[in-house]
Amino acid sequence: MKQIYLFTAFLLSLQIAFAQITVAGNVTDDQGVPLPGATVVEVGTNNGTTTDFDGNYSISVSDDASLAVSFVGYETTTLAVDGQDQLNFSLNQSNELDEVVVTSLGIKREAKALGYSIQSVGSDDIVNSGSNNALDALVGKAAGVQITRSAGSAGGGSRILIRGVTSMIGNNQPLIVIDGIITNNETLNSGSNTAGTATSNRLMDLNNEDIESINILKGSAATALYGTAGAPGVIVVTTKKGEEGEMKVSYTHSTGVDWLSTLFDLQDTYAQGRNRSRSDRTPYWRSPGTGESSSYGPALADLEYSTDPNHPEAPAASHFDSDGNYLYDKNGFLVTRGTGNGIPGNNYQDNYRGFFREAIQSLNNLSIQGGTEKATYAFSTSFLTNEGIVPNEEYGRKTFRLAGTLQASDKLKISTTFNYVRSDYQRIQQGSNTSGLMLGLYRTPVSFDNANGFTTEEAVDERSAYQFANGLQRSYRGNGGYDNPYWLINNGLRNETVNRVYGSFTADWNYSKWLNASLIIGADFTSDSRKQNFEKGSATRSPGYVSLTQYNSFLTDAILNISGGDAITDKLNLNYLVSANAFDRTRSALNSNGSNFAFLGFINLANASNVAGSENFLRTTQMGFVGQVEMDWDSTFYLTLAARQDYDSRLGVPGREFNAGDFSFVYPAASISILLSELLPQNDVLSFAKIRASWAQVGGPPPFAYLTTSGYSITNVGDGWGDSLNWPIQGVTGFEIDSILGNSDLTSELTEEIEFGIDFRFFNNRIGLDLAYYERQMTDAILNASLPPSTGYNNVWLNSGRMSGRGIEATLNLGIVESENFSWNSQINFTSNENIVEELAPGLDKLFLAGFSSGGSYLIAGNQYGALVGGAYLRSGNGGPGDDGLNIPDGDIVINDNASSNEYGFQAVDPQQRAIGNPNPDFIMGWNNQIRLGPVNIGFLFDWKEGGDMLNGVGWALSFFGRSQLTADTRNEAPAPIPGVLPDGSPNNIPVVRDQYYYQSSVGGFGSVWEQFTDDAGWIRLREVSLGYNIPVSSIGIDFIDSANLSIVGRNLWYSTDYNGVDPETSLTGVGNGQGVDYFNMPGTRSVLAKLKLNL
Amino acid sequence: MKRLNYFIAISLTVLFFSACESFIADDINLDPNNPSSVSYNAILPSIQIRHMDVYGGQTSRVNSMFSQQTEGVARQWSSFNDYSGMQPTRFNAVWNIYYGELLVEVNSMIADAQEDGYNHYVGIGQIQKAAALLDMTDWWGSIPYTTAASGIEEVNPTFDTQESIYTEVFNLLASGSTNMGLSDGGFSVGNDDVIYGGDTSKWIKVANAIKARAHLHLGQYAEALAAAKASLTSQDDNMTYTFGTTQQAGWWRFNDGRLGDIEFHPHLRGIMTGLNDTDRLGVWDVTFNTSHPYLKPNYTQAYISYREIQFIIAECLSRTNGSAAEMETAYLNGIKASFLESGLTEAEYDTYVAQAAVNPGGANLDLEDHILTQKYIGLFIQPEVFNDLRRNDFPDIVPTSGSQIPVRWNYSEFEILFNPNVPDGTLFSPKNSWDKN
Repeated sequence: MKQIYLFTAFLLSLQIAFAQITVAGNVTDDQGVPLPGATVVEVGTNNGTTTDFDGNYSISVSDDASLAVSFVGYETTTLAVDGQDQLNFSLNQSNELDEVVVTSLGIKREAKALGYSIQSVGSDDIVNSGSNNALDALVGKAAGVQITRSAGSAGGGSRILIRGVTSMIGNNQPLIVIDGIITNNETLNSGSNTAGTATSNRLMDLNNEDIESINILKGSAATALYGTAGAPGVIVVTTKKGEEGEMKVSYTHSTGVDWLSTLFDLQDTYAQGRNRSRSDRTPYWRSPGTGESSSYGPALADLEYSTDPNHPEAPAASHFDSDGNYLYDKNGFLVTRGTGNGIPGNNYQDNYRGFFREAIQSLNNLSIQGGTEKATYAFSTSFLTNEGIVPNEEYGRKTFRLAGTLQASDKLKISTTFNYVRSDYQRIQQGSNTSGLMLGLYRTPVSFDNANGFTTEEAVDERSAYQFANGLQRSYRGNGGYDNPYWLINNGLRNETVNRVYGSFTADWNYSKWLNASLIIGADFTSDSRKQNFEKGSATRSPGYVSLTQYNSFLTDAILNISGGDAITDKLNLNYLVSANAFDRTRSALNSNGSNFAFLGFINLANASNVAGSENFLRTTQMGFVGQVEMDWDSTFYLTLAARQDYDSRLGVPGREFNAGDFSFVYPAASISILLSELLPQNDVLSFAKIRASWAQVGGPPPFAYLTTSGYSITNVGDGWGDSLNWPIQGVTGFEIDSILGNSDLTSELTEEIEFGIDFRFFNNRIGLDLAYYERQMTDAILNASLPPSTGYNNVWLNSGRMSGRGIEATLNLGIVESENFSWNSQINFTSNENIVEELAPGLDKLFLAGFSSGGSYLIAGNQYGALVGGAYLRSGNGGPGDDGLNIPDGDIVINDNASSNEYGFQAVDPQQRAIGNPNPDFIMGWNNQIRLGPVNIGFLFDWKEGGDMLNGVGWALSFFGRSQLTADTRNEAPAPIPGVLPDGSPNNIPVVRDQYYYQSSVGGFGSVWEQFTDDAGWIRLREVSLGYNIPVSSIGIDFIDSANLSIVGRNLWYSTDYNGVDPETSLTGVGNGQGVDYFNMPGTRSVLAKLKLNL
Repeated sequence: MKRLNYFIAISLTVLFFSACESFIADDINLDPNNPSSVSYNAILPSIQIRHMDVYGGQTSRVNSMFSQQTEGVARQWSSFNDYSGMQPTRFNAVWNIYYGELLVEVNSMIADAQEDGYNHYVGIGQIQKAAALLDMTDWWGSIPYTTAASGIEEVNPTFDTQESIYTEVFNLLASGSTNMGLSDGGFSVGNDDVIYGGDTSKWIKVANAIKARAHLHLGQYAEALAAAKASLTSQDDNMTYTFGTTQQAGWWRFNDGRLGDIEFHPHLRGIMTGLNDTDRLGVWDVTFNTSHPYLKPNYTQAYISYREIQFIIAECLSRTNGSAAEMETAYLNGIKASFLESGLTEAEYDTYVAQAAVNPGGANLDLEDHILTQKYIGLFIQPEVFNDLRRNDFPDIVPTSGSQIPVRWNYSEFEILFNPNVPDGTLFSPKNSWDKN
């Protein structure tokens, strides 16, 4: 630590003042509109500054200096100081953008030369988003990008797709490159894909305040230089490294509150209980001590309390303590109205509404930067604490960052970055597991008080709320079934600590125009320690269980670029690039776990009577060699040709003799860009016009290491209806042959993409439209093709899949109003993407991705990626000519007319599962607005996702238990036929009531048929809204502060959806490829935060 | 300045060299987590425990529920109880276990042991395989066998008839017994045999026991009787595996994770109450949870037991009009073994069989009222009860829905999806070839 202070002090000492006089002034455009953020430089020196929000600057220079002012989109203007202390600049807009963007491998190129689409998102858009996760902050701000937050948990991660998917079952999350270095954005699951706790994506370790810009490389031509690693797209993050000029200190504080977005529509009319029988459908109350799971009991209004153990309706004696007090409710048990003590049954609606808290988050950030001609530095530190809306759910993050550049000689420039991050999480079990929070909470009958008479705040820390005197859990199903939510948040937590160090070293050596070399070396080490606690008595692990997992991930990346270029003739320019890079990734996992605790209150391996452990190690290595040539004619016609040769260890076969050809593959890319505006006469309407086209091939590696061979693994002893056993079992160990066959003939996947685009800007760039259309063909997709299990294997790895993709992206920039005191800029980002699974493997037309076997996300030949598959109603067209065996056939729903069946009069069940939904949206659109009104800034962002289905597993399960409002609405309806036809084709005339027996049948909750629980999960939401105010610090006499900004940011404050459940921005299966499953996930949140930013 | 250049040059060389090196090394992409081969003492315990676990786990739950010894009362198990939820997808796990976690492994072990000349591993493998095949054909009827379990060499295995599977079962049992009678070939089986610890005589006995069970299914009572008499002679000979208090038996793990889903069936309770079978009811008819006195964590799971053999002897004697005294002895031995197995005393057994309704004397023993009834009770939660139920149509069982009780298991959903050779079938048809009633 001491060294860091010393180094900081050293950097600060580089500050040397040269000033002779101070010049101040104002920078505007030719309309007189102030230009904030324009760069003012003393010509011939590294002395410079930028204009403040009102376009004002102040700089100390020698009195004979000249000042050059530059601003993106404007012509640079130079004026001599000549001893004046006041100098105003009016900049003319340039006709073409000399914008420079960071592309692949850290190469900076002029935007106009690019024949493919790249979109940049600036620092302000990220910092002012109200989210601490840079991925979330991008929602709606870039075309072609789809971001889904997996849950409303504090510290929950997000999934991002760029132009849909490129791999069937492999990684589809884009490569994250920070300052030229491939950086860890892993998500390591805790539990199965449908259970466990929320997970993070590691980009969350980055402090948003450190980001200078994010560039999104979308298509294959843009990412070709990254080879296989870049196939899913690349996100290039550039961080702040300090600028020449005085030391700038900036401090940001924000405090916010998150609260529950929406709860499922639960009924609060009917008590715990069930119908007496199919023939006598009288509902009756059943005591929690019976373990009754359903809420199909009588209406609360028909019940009242009794405390008399001899009451004829009293529960069994075992539900009372030795003093004759009823154990499950301090008010007594419920009896028929008129026979008890006259006190009506309580409606414990706070079971589910009051359980959640208003969660506080706060962020403190300090950054210091500055520099001289020779060296610049940037230091920042941030402290984030973020409570979850579930009590005891916590997320905290501390970041430290140091970056600097050094001009070591006139030819050599060195820059480095160093980051240390510590993240701490305390997480809650969720999803499909008997300890899942929402599962136990939502299923609790309205007649049972999880808090046992305490307020929701008290119950969090009150043991007697959730535990009986004998130590057993107090829950609505006796002491079994599911965990009482209050028990869970005290006894079933997962703690995770991430320590991460990453950084890079870059050396740029500029020898001549024709020879420049740059070397980038980076390393990223992540240690992730996890401890899952299950106290004795948990519903999932009743004897108690503790699991400790240590993940160590280490990424190293090295890139050597050699480049150069110059004018060949007065019209023809040529640039070249030759590059080599190597990337290595390892991850080790060590687990120790113990079960069967000797006593309560000590969740520790030492207290476990059975301890087991396991280890796992993964390594992949990639190397690539790149060549690229870029030519332009008269700054009007641009042509880029590139090729990359890739080597990937995942294609290696152990023991096979080395043959470079086995690992390598060459991918070409070509793109052209034509600046039409250079060919047209200058005019006031069309200020810039470019058309572009590109073509590229890019490979994808096998999705995981070690697929070219098969081996043995520890035998799984279990059948899915209880815990599996852990080896060694009573002194012996056991191995079985892997159920998935390796394949030594695997080759890389291939994506071929063609893209066309235009970039037109009108009226001095007030209106800009960027359109892109692309088509992709993905062949040789690697998948775990299913085998009939009677082959002895479930799957084999094959290069057999084929997918196609196409999409349209549009970005419309509108300068709606621009004047001195009022401006309104608007950006609309539109994304429409479609990925069709053309072919899986011979004989295979369906492949499971994620979810449940009765309903989940699949690959289905001919359907969109990730189609939702589940049981369906039988249709009259079943087996007919139009029935492909995959999709729902034509015809009416057939009704079961077997009078002896328990499902008489209900919809009949199709014996086959069918594609019943498509989780992919038709389009997504973001509308982002920035309004400036004097010192006040207003921003708002609407996010529209049209379509996209979701399996509503919560509605499905809660109908079984009679907890959903739907079941309360239909149970008292008059008997009526369900729309459909009888097997003979005549209209259904069998009247039924949709009561307990309907919702507990094959077509109800936990039944095989998901059709009535598949909903459109589209939305329109007010994703962000912000109000900022620039405090006029100088006018109120504060001179040590340069500027101050106070803002309020709201996130997810409003949404509208047809989805019949919770906030549809949820994904049970997290960042994985399968999407569209909602099952007792953590509910979404809304948040508001207040933020103060001071620049000193 | 020069130093920095050297530093950069050296860093580059080291980085690229180490990356290249990993490509040239012949262990590239070598999986450090999964060995490419394992020894006998790692695969035999896997085969045995895997089989005992599936037999005493899902097989026991489904068969005892179909036979109305247990009742699915909550969540998914209530829909299984009325048969509606027992869709093909529910049989994926067991089907996978039999093929992917038993057949492939046992084939591989037998092949290796034949090559190495280790006769006892061959013999144990053949007997284990016969047991697995017998289970499979009894639950499903026709099953893939001759072209099965061979990976991508045959991606659509064909289905063999039940008759041919039975022939193979008898062949495997015969050569298994022969191999157990040979020398060990230089490598003896030890504690890695978690069932008999390498005791060859017990393996030969149990081969006969399984043979007796198979002949009984086929109605070949004389053969069944002969084989039964040559098999298990006491409870010590039982083919069992005792689970541990920390690596628990299947029913305990089920009751741990799925508390309240399955309970004791009123049908069995009725039969037992009618016979004043209060002692065994006291052990079995208790709320199913982790402190259930019978469904203990360290439950001793039998694949085939002395008591079943004794009931087979009694049944065969009854059906072939054999010695009444011998029949009575076998009948009482079976009941006694059941009492002892449930942790009850001989005194409690004596009281029970003193009732005329239980033991009216050898000459008066009725096949159904006594022998099959006591076998139905005595094999509580043993999957074999479902075979007896179908074979004898006894005891009388009222379907929980519809008009039929299941006569088989559904094929696995995954097999149906990916193998065009799967024959049609539901829970209610076709019947097993030996299911004549």
